[in-house]
Amino acid sequence: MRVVIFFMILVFVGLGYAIKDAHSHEMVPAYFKLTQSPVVNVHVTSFKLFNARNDVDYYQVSVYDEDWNRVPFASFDRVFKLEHLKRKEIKVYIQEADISSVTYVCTESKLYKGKGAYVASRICSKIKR
Amino acid sequence: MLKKVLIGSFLVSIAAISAKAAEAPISGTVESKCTIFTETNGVYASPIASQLTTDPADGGVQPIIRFDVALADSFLGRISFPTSFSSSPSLPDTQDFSGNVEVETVSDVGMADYDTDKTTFNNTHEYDLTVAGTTRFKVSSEMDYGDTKALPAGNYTAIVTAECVAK
Repeated sequence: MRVVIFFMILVFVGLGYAIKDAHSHEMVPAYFKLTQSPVVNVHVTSFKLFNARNDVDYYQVSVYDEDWNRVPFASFDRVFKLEHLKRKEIKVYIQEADISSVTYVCTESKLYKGKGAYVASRICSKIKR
Repeated sequence: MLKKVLIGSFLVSIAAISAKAAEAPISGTVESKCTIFTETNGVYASPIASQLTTDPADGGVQPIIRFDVALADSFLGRISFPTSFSSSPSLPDTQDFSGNVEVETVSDVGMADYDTDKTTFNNTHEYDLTVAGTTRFKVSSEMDYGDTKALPAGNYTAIVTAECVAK
Protein backbone atom coordinates (compact mmCIF):
# COMPACT_ATOMS: atom_id res chain seq x y z
CA MET A 1 0.00 0.00 0.00
CA ARG A 2 2.83 2.37 0.90
CA VAL A 3 4.50 1.60 -2.41
CA VAL A 4 1.29 2.47 -4.29
CA ILE A 5 0.95 5.77 -2.39
CA PHE A 6 4.62 6.55 -3.07
CA PHE A 7 4.16 5.99 -6.82
CA MET A 8 0.95 8.05 -6.85
CA ILE A 9 2.83 10.93 -5.21
CA LEU A 10 5.61 10.55 -7.79
CA VAL A 11 3.07 10.68 -10.64
CA PHE A 12 1.36 13.80 -9.24
CA VAL A 13 4.67 15.58 -8.62
CA GLY A 14 5.85 14.67 -12.14
CA LEU A 15 2.58 15.90 -13.64
CA GLY A 16 2.89 19.12 -11.68
CA TYR A 17 6.38 19.73 -13.02
CA ALA A 18 5.26 18.89 -16.56
CA ILE A 19 2.48 21.49 -16.37
CA LYS A 20 4.76 24.02 -14.70
CA ASP A 21 7.41 23.59 -17.39
CA ALA A 22 5.05 23.80 -20.34
CA HIS A 23 5.30 27.18 -22.11
CA SER A 24 3.17 26.89 -25.18
CA HIS A 25 0.87 28.99 -27.30
CA GLU A 26 -1.79 26.98 -29.10
CA MET A 27 -4.57 28.03 -31.46
CA VAL A 28 -7.14 25.97 -33.39
CA PRO A 29 -8.40 25.56 -36.02
CA ALA A 30 -5.46 25.94 -38.38
CA TYR A 31 -7.86 26.44 -41.28
CA PHE A 32 -11.02 28.45 -40.69
CA LYS A 33 -14.26 29.21 -42.51
CA LEU A 34 -16.34 32.36 -42.37
CA THR A 35 -20.05 31.97 -41.76
CA GLN A 36 -22.90 34.45 -41.77
CA SER A 37 -23.27 36.19 -38.41
CA PRO A 38 -26.62 37.34 -36.98
CA VAL A 39 -25.74 40.81 -38.29
CA VAL A 40 -26.48 41.51 -41.97
CA ASN A 41 -23.37 41.77 -44.19
CA VAL A 42 -21.09 40.61 -41.41
CA HIS A 43 -19.42 37.21 -41.32
CA VAL A 44 -17.88 35.50 -38.31
CA THR A 45 -15.34 32.85 -37.44
CA SER A 46 -14.14 31.57 -34.09
CA PHE A 47 -10.91 30.22 -32.64
CA LYS A 48 -9.88 28.46 -29.47
CA LEU A 49 -6.73 29.59 -27.78
CA PHE A 50 -4.82 27.83 -25.00
CA ASN A 51 -2.19 29.71 -23.03
CA ALA A 52 0.42 27.48 -21.41
CA ARG A 53 2.99 30.27 -21.31
CA ASN A 54 3.43 31.36 -17.73
CA ASP A 55 5.31 34.45 -18.91
CA VAL A 56 2.42 35.77 -21.05
CA ASP A 57 -0.98 37.05 -19.90
CA TYR A 58 -2.22 38.97 -22.94
CA TYR A 59 -2.72 38.13 -26.60
CA GLN A 60 -3.65 40.24 -29.61
CA VAL A 61 -5.73 39.26 -32.63
CA SER A 62 -4.96 40.55 -36.12
CA VAL A 63 -6.30 39.84 -39.60
CA TYR A 64 -4.27 39.98 -42.81
CA ASP A 65 -4.72 39.55 -46.53
CA GLU A 66 -2.57 37.36 -48.78
CA ASP A 67 0.22 39.97 -48.86
CA TRP A 68 0.16 40.51 -45.10
CA ASN A 69 -1.65 43.84 -45.29
CA ARG A 70 -3.98 44.42 -42.37
CA VAL A 71 -7.70 43.81 -42.94
CA PRO A 72 -10.30 45.61 -40.80
CA PHE A 73 -12.20 43.39 -38.39
CA ALA A 74 -14.21 43.55 -35.19
CA SER A 75 -13.87 41.45 -32.07
CA PHE A 76 -14.70 41.71 -28.41
CA ASP A 77 -11.24 40.27 -27.82
CA ARG A 78 -8.91 42.35 -29.99
CA VAL A 79 -6.43 42.42 -27.10
CA PHE A 80 -7.46 40.11 -24.32
CA LYS A 81 -6.25 38.62 -21.08
CA LEU A 82 -5.74 34.88 -20.97
CA GLU A 83 -4.23 33.55 -17.79
CA HIS A 84 -1.78 30.68 -17.61
CA LEU A 85 -3.32 27.28 -18.46
CA LYS A 86 -6.67 28.84 -19.43
CA ARG A 87 -8.59 28.44 -22.67
CA LYS A 88 -10.65 31.02 -24.47
CA GLU A 89 -12.86 31.12 -27.54
CA ILE A 90 -12.50 34.27 -29.59
CA LYS A 91 -14.82 35.41 -32.35
CA VAL A 92 -13.66 37.55 -35.26
CA TYR A 93 -16.22 39.50 -37.31
CA ILE A 94 -15.48 40.62 -40.85
CA GLN A 95 -17.67 42.74 -43.10
CA GLU A 96 -18.79 41.25 -46.37
CA ALA A 97 -16.77 43.70 -48.46
CA ASP A 98 -13.52 42.35 -46.98
CA ILE A 99 -14.26 38.63 -47.17
CA SER A 100 -12.47 38.12 -50.49
CA SER A 101 -9.24 39.60 -49.13
CA VAL A 102 -9.14 37.88 -45.73
CA THR A 103 -6.44 35.20 -45.69
CA TYR A 104 -4.86 34.95 -42.23
CA VAL A 105 -6.10 35.43 -38.68
CA CYS A 106 -3.27 35.56 -36.16
CA THR A 107 -2.89 35.66 -32.40
CA GLU A 108 0.29 37.14 -30.98
CA SER A 109 1.63 37.10 -27.45
CA LYS A 110 2.07 40.47 -25.76
CA LEU A 111 5.16 40.67 -23.62
CA TYR A 112 5.57 42.66 -20.45
CA LYS A 113 8.62 44.87 -20.40
CA GLY A 114 10.98 43.51 -17.80
CA LYS A 115 8.93 40.40 -16.91
CA GLY A 116 11.51 38.02 -18.33
CA ALA A 117 9.72 36.98 -21.54
CA TYR A 118 12.06 37.25 -24.50
CA VAL A 119 10.27 35.18 -27.14
CA ALA A 120 7.20 36.56 -28.89
CA SER A 121 5.00 33.83 -30.37
CA ARG A 122 2.52 34.25 -33.19
CA ILE A 123 0.23 31.61 -34.70
CA CYS A 124 -1.68 32.29 -37.91
CA SER A 125 -4.63 30.32 -39.24
CA LYS A 126 -5.50 30.41 -42.91
CA ILE A 127 -8.93 30.70 -44.52
CA LYS A 128 -10.33 27.57 -46.15
CA ARG A 129 -12.06 28.64 -49.36
CA MET B 1 -27.50 -22.84 0.56
CA LEU B 2 -27.46 -19.23 1.76
CA LYS B 3 -23.68 -19.20 1.38
CA LYS B 4 -24.00 -20.37 -2.27
CA VAL B 5 -26.60 -17.66 -3.01
CA LEU B 6 -24.38 -14.97 -1.48
CA ILE B 7 -21.32 -16.10 -3.45
CA GLY B 8 -23.40 -16.32 -6.63
CA SER B 9 -24.83 -12.81 -6.23
CA PHE B 10 -21.33 -11.48 -5.42
CA LEU B 11 -19.94 -12.98 -8.66
CA VAL B 12 -22.88 -11.58 -10.66
CA SER B 13 -22.31 -8.07 -9.27
CA ILE B 14 -18.57 -8.27 -10.06
CA ALA B 15 -19.42 -9.31 -13.62
CA ALA B 16 -21.88 -6.40 -13.91
CA ILE B 17 -19.27 -3.90 -12.71
CA SER B 18 -16.72 -5.34 -15.14
CA ALA B 19 -19.20 -5.10 -17.98
CA LYS B 20 -19.93 -1.48 -17.12
CA ALA B 21 -16.22 -0.62 -16.94
CA ALA B 22 -15.64 -2.25 -20.31
CA GLU B 23 -18.18 0.13 -21.85
CA ALA B 24 -16.42 3.32 -20.71
CA PRO B 25 -15.01 4.85 -23.89
CA ILE B 26 -11.88 6.94 -24.22
CA SER B 27 -12.10 9.30 -27.13
CA GLY B 28 -9.79 11.97 -28.44
CA THR B 29 -9.21 14.12 -31.47
CA VAL B 30 -5.91 15.37 -32.77
CA GLU B 31 -6.61 18.59 -34.59
CA SER B 32 -4.49 19.97 -37.38
CA LYS B 33 -2.51 22.48 -35.40
CA CYS B 34 0.85 24.04 -34.76
CA THR B 35 1.95 24.76 -31.21
CA ILE B 36 4.85 27.01 -30.29
CA PHE B 37 6.76 26.19 -27.09
CA THR B 38 9.22 28.64 -25.61
CA GLU B 39 11.46 26.14 -23.87
CA THR B 40 14.41 28.34 -22.94
CA ASN B 41 14.69 32.09 -22.70
CA GLY B 42 18.07 33.38 -23.84
CA VAL B 43 20.66 35.15 -21.72
CA TYR B 44 23.27 37.58 -22.97
CA ALA B 45 26.83 37.31 -21.75
CA SER B 46 29.42 40.05 -22.16
CA PRO B 47 32.80 38.45 -22.99
CA ILE B 48 34.24 41.88 -23.85
CA ALA B 49 33.02 45.32 -22.78
CA SER B 50 31.61 46.23 -26.20
CA GLN B 51 29.79 42.98 -26.94
CA LEU B 52 26.73 41.02 -25.83
CA THR B 53 26.31 37.47 -27.06
CA THR B 54 24.21 34.38 -26.42
CA ASP B 55 27.13 32.12 -27.39
CA PRO B 56 27.41 29.38 -24.73
CA ALA B 57 31.21 29.41 -25.18
CA ASP B 58 31.17 32.97 -23.79
CA GLY B 59 28.73 32.19 -20.99
CA GLY B 60 25.51 33.07 -22.79
CA VAL B 61 22.35 31.00 -23.18
CA GLN B 62 20.69 30.47 -26.54
CA PRO B 63 16.89 30.60 -26.67
CA ILE B 64 15.31 27.26 -27.62
CA ILE B 65 11.95 27.32 -29.41
CA ARG B 66 9.98 24.18 -30.13
CA PHE B 67 7.39 23.74 -32.86
CA ASP B 68 4.94 20.84 -32.58
CA VAL B 69 3.11 20.19 -35.83
CA ALA B 70 0.19 17.74 -35.95
CA LEU B 71 -0.25 17.75 -39.74
CA ALA B 72 2.56 17.35 -42.28
CA ASP B 73 3.23 19.93 -44.99
CA SER B 74 0.69 22.42 -43.63
CA PHE B 75 2.72 25.03 -41.77
CA LEU B 76 5.62 27.42 -42.15
CA GLY B 77 7.80 28.16 -39.15
CA ARG B 78 9.39 31.60 -39.08
CA ILE B 79 11.91 32.63 -36.47
CA SER B 80 13.51 36.06 -36.32
CA PHE B 81 16.55 36.94 -34.26
CA PRO B 82 16.55 40.44 -32.74
CA THR B 83 17.86 43.51 -34.58
CA SER B 84 17.37 45.96 -31.72
CA PHE B 85 16.91 46.00 -27.97
CA SER B 86 13.37 46.21 -26.64
CA SER B 87 14.80 47.78 -23.50
CA SER B 88 18.29 48.98 -22.65
CA PRO B 89 20.17 51.93 -21.22
CA SER B 90 20.68 54.88 -23.55
CA LEU B 91 22.96 53.81 -26.42
CA PRO B 92 23.98 56.79 -28.56
CA ASP B 93 26.48 54.84 -30.70
CA THR B 94 25.84 52.32 -33.45
CA GLN B 95 24.55 48.87 -32.54
CA ASP B 96 25.58 46.09 -34.89
CA PHE B 97 23.23 43.13 -34.41
CA SER B 98 23.84 39.73 -35.92
CA GLY B 99 22.41 36.27 -35.30
CA ASN B 100 21.38 32.93 -36.64
CA VAL B 101 18.67 30.27 -36.33
CA GLU B 102 19.48 26.56 -36.51
CA VAL B 103 17.68 23.29 -35.95
CA GLU B 104 18.67 21.89 -32.55
CA THR B 105 16.82 18.54 -32.42
CA VAL B 106 14.18 16.78 -34.51
CA SER B 107 11.72 13.98 -33.80
CA ASP B 108 11.73 12.54 -37.30
CA VAL B 109 14.55 11.75 -39.71
CA GLY B 110 12.55 13.48 -42.47
CA MET B 111 13.32 16.81 -40.77
CA ALA B 112 17.06 16.39 -41.29
CA ASP B 113 17.12 18.78 -44.26
CA TYR B 114 15.22 21.60 -42.59
CA ASP B 115 18.36 23.72 -42.17
CA THR B 116 19.58 23.28 -45.74
CA ASP B 117 16.12 23.88 -47.20
CA LYS B 118 15.28 26.98 -45.15
CA THR B 119 14.73 30.41 -46.67
CA THR B 120 16.47 33.38 -45.09
CA PHE B 121 15.46 36.99 -45.54
CA ASN B 122 16.89 39.80 -43.42
CA ASN B 123 16.84 38.49 -39.86
CA THR B 124 14.07 35.93 -40.49
CA HIS B 125 14.62 32.23 -41.11
CA GLU B 126 11.66 30.43 -42.67
CA TYR B 127 11.27 26.66 -42.41
CA ASP B 128 8.80 24.61 -44.42
CA LEU B 129 7.52 22.17 -41.79
CA THR B 130 6.93 19.26 -44.16
CA VAL B 131 6.93 16.50 -41.54
CA ALA B 132 4.57 16.11 -38.59
CA GLY B 133 6.33 16.04 -35.24
CA THR B 134 8.57 18.12 -33.01
CA THR B 135 11.40 20.41 -34.06
CA ARG B 136 13.55 22.43 -31.70
CA PHE B 137 15.32 25.53 -32.97
CA LYS B 138 18.15 27.41 -31.29
CA VAL B 139 18.62 31.11 -31.85
CA SER B 140 21.88 32.97 -31.51
CA SER B 141 22.19 36.72 -31.13
CA GLU B 142 25.16 39.05 -30.87
CA MET B 143 25.48 42.82 -30.58
CA ASP B 144 28.68 44.79 -31.06
CA TYR B 145 28.51 48.33 -29.79
CA GLY B 146 30.02 51.38 -31.48
CA ASP B 147 33.70 51.34 -32.34
CA THR B 148 34.50 48.81 -29.59
CA LYS B 149 33.07 51.18 -26.99
CA ALA B 150 32.14 49.85 -23.56
CA LEU B 151 28.44 49.17 -23.08
CA PRO B 152 26.86 51.19 -20.25
CA ALA B 153 25.73 49.22 -17.21
CA GLY B 154 22.07 48.21 -17.08
CA ASN B 155 19.55 45.63 -18.23
CA TYR B 156 19.39 44.69 -21.88
CA THR B 157 16.41 42.89 -23.39
CA ALA B 158 15.90 41.76 -26.98
CA ILE B 159 12.96 39.83 -28.39
CA VAL B 160 13.04 36.74 -30.59
CA THR B 161 9.90 36.26 -32.68
CA ALA B 162 8.58 32.77 -33.41
CA GLU B 163 5.73 32.41 -35.87
CA CYS B 164 3.77 29.45 -37.19
CA VAL B 165 1.67 30.15 -40.28
CA ALA B 166 -0.78 27.77 -41.93
CA LYS B 167 0.09 27.21 -45.60
